[in-house]
Amino acid sequence: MSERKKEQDGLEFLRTFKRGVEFTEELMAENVRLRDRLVDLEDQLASEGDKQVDPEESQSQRKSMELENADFHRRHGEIDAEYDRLAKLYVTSYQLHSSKEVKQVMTIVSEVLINLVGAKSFVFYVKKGTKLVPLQATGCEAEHLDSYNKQHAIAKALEAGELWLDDGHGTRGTGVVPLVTIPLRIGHAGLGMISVLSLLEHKECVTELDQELFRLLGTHASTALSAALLYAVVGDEAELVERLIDQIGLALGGDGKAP
Amino acid sequence: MTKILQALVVEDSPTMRQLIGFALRRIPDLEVDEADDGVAGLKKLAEKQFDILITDINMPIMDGLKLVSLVRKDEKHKDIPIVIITTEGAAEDRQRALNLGANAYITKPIQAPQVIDCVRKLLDR
Repeated sequence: MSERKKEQDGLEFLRTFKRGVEFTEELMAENVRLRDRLVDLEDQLASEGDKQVDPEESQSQRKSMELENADFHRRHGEIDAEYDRLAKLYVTSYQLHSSKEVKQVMTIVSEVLINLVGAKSFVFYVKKGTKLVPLQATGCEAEHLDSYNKQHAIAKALEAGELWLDDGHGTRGTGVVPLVTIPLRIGHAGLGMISVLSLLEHKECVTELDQELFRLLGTHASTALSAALLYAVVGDEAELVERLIDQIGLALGGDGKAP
Repeated sequence: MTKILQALVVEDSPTMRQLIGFALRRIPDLEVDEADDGVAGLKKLAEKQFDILITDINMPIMDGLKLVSLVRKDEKHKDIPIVIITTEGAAEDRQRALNLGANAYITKPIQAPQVIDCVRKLLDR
């Protein structure tokens, strides 16, 4: 993936996040408006309860209120779903980038797959030569993918740094063949892959939000892993900070020395 | 004036703690505290009064079933509403928790609206 594409993807993510926040704020404001309207209508209905009302007019008003109620519930559901989506994306990104150890990053990825997506079985692979070697398997036995056939759709998606979805991703998966594969790359270099084989019993299929989470994992997990590795290599937090300051200075055109 | 209620989330996964916290903070007049295992949860319960407990089952040091059992024996919190977090497949664990005194359960993968509805109903909010 080119640097330009990575930058574009990053900007697109920020724009999506910002649009999501704006949308949520608009919907929450409308939520308040609709709630107030509902209270007004209920008060109105209560105060007119004793009056002699034309039955037809009463039915028409009731129907109008029912339609408003239904619209209110629909909008409320949209707000809740959007909030849930933004919260999951934020928490995933936050947790990945707040991890300082490789093992912690791997744990966070597993937690996201199980607790946020509802994956039942999945495998972490690392790339070694032309092979994908399983590093860790959850909910299944992992086999080496010895036949790294570059013509296979999964391999092509991996090379392109793209998510791959099986045609049957509208199901829970078999637990034997991949349902979804998530490429792990650092820059142009392939690090490995996460293969999701099946979902929990009550989870019907891979959703659009799940796909967003997979894409987030694919890019951010790799970055978080490389940061954790850097932290492990340097070892000392104070030295890491000093080296970072030097690098920031260099990047900004200074002499590269900490002040 | 509406009383500020206190929720305690006991969960060893920081991802889940943060996500459940986000959901609960959408409920007005509800403050959220956290603990990362059953022992830490018990310590928090000893330190202050909570109005609802949300706990995972599978945790290190002390699991959620043990925690539920001990909370039900604690005079201060014996009537506190308890929500357990479970996977759908763990029907036995879920039944055990309900038998021990849990009031409701949330299944993974968690959805914020599900958490909010469950807690709101138990707190009558």
